[in-house]
Amino acid sequence: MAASLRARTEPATATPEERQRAYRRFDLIVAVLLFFLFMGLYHVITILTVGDWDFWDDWKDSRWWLSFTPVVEIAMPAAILYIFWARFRLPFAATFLTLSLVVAEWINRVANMHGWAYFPLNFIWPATLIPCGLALDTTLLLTDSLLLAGIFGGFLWGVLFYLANWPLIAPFLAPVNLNGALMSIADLQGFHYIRTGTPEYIRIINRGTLRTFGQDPVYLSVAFAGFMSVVVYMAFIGVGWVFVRSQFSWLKKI
Amino acid sequence: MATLLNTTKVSDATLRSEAATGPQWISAPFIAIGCGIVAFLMVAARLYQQQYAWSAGLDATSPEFQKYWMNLLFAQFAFEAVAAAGIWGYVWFSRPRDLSHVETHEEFRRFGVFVALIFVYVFAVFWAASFFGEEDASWHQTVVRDTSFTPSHIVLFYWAFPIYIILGITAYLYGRTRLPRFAARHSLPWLIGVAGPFMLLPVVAFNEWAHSFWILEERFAAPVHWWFVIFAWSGLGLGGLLLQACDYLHELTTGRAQTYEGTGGPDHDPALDFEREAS
Repeated sequence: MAASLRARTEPATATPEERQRAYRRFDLIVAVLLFFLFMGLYHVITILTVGDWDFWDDWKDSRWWLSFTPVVEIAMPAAILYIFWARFRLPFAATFLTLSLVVAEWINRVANMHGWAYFPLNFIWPATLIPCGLALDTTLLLTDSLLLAGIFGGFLWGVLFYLANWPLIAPFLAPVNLNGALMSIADLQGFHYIRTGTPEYIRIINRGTLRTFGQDPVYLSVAFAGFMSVVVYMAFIGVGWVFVRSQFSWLKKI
Repeated sequence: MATLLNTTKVSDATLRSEAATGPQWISAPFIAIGCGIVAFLMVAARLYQQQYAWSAGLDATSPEFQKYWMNLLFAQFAFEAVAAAGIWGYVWFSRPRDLSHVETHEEFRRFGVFVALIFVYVFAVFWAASFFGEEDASWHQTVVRDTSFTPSHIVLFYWAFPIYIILGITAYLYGRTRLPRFAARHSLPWLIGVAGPFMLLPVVAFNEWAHSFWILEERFAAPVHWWFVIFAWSGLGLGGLLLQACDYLHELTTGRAQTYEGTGGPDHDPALDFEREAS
């Protein structure tokens, strides 16, 4: 038997001012809640998809790191951006997410990677995506279009990643000569700190072909990341749409 | 100085006004205590790791490992069983039996408790997914495992995961038993937001099964870990719940709340009115 409905006309708040206070309180609680939620979800997805490239200096190479990281990382900002923009007209989802990610990563690098596994901080610093998020959000705000934000902001997201992280990685790309072998400071750090991932590093990263200190592969990787970020953005806008539609989904029985 | 005094006067007036309109909605002390307990449990586990992981957690066949780590694992299981039974039992057996005559103010208060419970749940998810998730990488990039029950796994999979699962189901049960709208039917996004992260625990079984075959320590971003990614995405179900909560809050504060009389879900769903208005 279905339930019948009876309307209750008395509001839970007595005055408009009290109602506004309730709304503001709800907004504040939800904002903090979302920050913790994104620190958890965005971070765990990051460590399980591009984690190794973000954990270590020597993995921050001029091909995989530059291409892989922004392309994979734009998925969740795109989905959340749709929810924030389509329902709340808030143009800061990508910035909010990237900020939460960097905060979560630094907490971990200091407390666990450095504080427990004893790696030096200048070997395990996280990359930043905050400038990419700012560019994506700003494009959305200026164009008022999810499509244009995807085309221009998505491309900027991919392209800006290397530029934003260049000041961080540059000191570790300086060449050194160790017993006749030419390598970067980052390589040298990696060989001093042998990890269970070192064989994969040698297989994937430290290959002879295109193994450079920057130069041509960087431009190719950056351009590829820009184009692919646009594609992934478009796909995951759809995921955001699905989650928004779930607002209307109720199940009478399981 | 004059500005400071004026500000103080305004603040006092605001405080008096809030005091006159009743207790604070969404109790900050409730959230602080809940998150404080979660933080205490997590920090205690982290300090235990700091003390005993390197000294007694490297060889699973050693007596020290049995003493400090396997006994910790069994103690965790016992704690979690008692906590789950106690909390879920309390929420279930203390439930009001008649939701058809709930007053709007009372429903509003319960909605605040519901939001606070979700906050504590999400806070626990942060510790599990982010803090201990990456900590697991730091350990397994450094130490080759000789057991599935490593010092990082014992805390991550069998402490942090069960705690957020207990809290998530608690919040779900609370909504089902106290809030008429959520008692009449299941919220699909909220169900996804609780059941999806819960599924990370079964994925642990697959993960360890696979690790026992291939010893995939080499790369943390290995495909064997990608099942975790799929279920982590389900946490976005909370986005759909947020929209439902906004709709619910608007109804409660503007005199448009509904009472559900009878059993089962209503034929007409007021939540869908919002959909029609939006489109």
